[in-house]
Amino acid sequence: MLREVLKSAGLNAKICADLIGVDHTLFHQWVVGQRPIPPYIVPELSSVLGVPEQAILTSSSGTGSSENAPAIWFKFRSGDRLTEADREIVVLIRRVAYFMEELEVLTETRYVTWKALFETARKEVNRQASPKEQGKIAAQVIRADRQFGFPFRTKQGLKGAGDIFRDNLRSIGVRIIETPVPTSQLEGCSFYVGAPGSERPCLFANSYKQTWFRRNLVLMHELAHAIFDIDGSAASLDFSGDADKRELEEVRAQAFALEALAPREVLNHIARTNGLKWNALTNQDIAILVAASQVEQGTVIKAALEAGFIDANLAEKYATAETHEFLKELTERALTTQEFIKARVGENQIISAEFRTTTIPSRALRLPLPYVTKVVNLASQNEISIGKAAQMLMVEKDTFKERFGSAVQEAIA
Amino acid sequence: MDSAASLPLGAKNPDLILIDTDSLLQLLIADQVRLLHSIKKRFNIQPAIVEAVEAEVRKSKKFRSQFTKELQKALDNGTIVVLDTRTLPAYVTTSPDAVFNMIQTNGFSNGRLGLDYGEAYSFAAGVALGIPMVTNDMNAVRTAQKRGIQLPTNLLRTYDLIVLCHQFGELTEHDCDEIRKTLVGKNEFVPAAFEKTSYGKGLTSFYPRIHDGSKSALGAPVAVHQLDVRITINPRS
Repeated sequence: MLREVLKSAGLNAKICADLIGVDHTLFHQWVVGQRPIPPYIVPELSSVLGVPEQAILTSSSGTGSSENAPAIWFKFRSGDRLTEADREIVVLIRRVAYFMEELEVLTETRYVTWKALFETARKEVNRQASPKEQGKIAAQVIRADRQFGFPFRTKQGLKGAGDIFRDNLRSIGVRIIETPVPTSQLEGCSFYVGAPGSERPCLFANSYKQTWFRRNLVLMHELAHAIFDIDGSAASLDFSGDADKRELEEVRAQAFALEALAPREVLNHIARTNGLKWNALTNQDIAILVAASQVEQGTVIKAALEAGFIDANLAEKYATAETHEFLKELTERALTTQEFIKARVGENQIISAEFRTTTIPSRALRLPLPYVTKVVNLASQNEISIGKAAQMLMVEKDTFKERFGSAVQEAIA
Repeated sequence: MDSAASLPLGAKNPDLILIDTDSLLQLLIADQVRLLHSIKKRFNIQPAIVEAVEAEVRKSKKFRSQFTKELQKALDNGTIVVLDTRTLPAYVTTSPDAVFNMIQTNGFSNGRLGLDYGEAYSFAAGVALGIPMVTNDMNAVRTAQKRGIQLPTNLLRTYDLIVLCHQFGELTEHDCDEIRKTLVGKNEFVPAAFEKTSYGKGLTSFYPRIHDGSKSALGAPVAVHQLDVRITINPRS
């Protein structure tokens, strides 16, 4: 059956073996039925491939045609804009999602309230309303429940939701992955991860040459798809340059993202507290708007236009204003990834992106900081073994020790 | 602490001895897989690994190209056996399926409690089959203890096998020291007794956890570590 699943999904067995972390020869023997698939790997395979465990263990029952592919792979198999890299990243994301679930079991912290919240958002929306209205209402439900979308007072002053929504959504069980995939045209996508029966929504943003501000919008856009669309379509895919797509789902998702991140009251609040005059914004003022709302310039200007603060002429003028130098002064999020990491790592606040990257031979995945931090902490307290920690971070044991040796020194000794 | 548990002379040797990933890699690094063959031949004890360990050794980036052939050879000639549904009935005469299922259930549970596949399923197999297990991975042992995971009664280190082979004459003191040098040179674990001193000198403070009952004992006479539980085995008659 494994052979049929791989074939129907359009997954190359050798690459799949690499991504699962199994030797090619051994994986081939499992695929062709030369050796039984060891039970220990079946739950992981089931979760990654999106098929029930029993289906992996049963002998051949189909032809391996695309019609028999698990929904997620059927979706990722079709479409001329999808590449091998996209399928590989999905395998890796589904694999890390499996380990994330293990981590929740291990720490007895199951986050499952996403389901009820998504249901509430869907219920509150009148499906006869315009897609824009639908997106807006759903965003208001989410914002109110999760308490984001309003500026937050922090040590650094008022901030938008960009800094908090990732952890906030993760705490209700939504998986969020941001990783660079240079060879992919995908800007973002959403789909379910997890074994059949214990699915979780997963939002993905391709961070290659994308600013953090842009990714905030992409992830919120994908959240809307996760709420409304992926139940019926298995996955929602958004490609770079598709911003102007006019399908109902896309208009709704865009309206949702805008309302979730830069609603009228947030813009108004930022303008008031900073003494900004909408009809005479300087480049520095626009930078303040971006830094405080934590969404990219084009989006915040569009939001201001839709909120009626500015007209189309001003919007056009403001959208192209040069703000980058001001922005860098206002927020470290405007720094390049390298600059940002250097600044934060210098303060020992985060684990560098390099150390959060898997060492799978064919494709690298950058893992979320909170996940990596949790795994390293558990390993340092002997709550999980170094071998398990390495497995969860998809690196070799030696690599784990090299990267986090100082943090887990006592556990290794 | 003296040896807490040992098989009396004349008692049946275990049918199997389990080896974990790190220990098997050490034997491969030191080019000493042959020792497993010698142990099998002399004591009629079959060295075994769980399926997850086979997968881990084969995928090990550091050693894959170097050792795949050697591992395959050891598997092909029966020096090492992979414990699966096909091989287990040779060692478990009563309800091998039930024992296999128990290993899978406990292995899965051990994994969910914080061990990697190799560790989780090796510990589960060691407990279910009541056989000794070779592991140098004290980190995994500590994690298992902290998480309340049951461990096999006899946890041996790679060096216990080396000392055993020295005891029955398969290795000389010089051989054992060369192995020590190789492992130290590759930053591999060696017991504290041998870390900074020659094999000969270190042996006096090393308490071997497995012992050939037909030969004079080697090493420290008294247990020094909580896990120093000695098993005595005897040559096949």
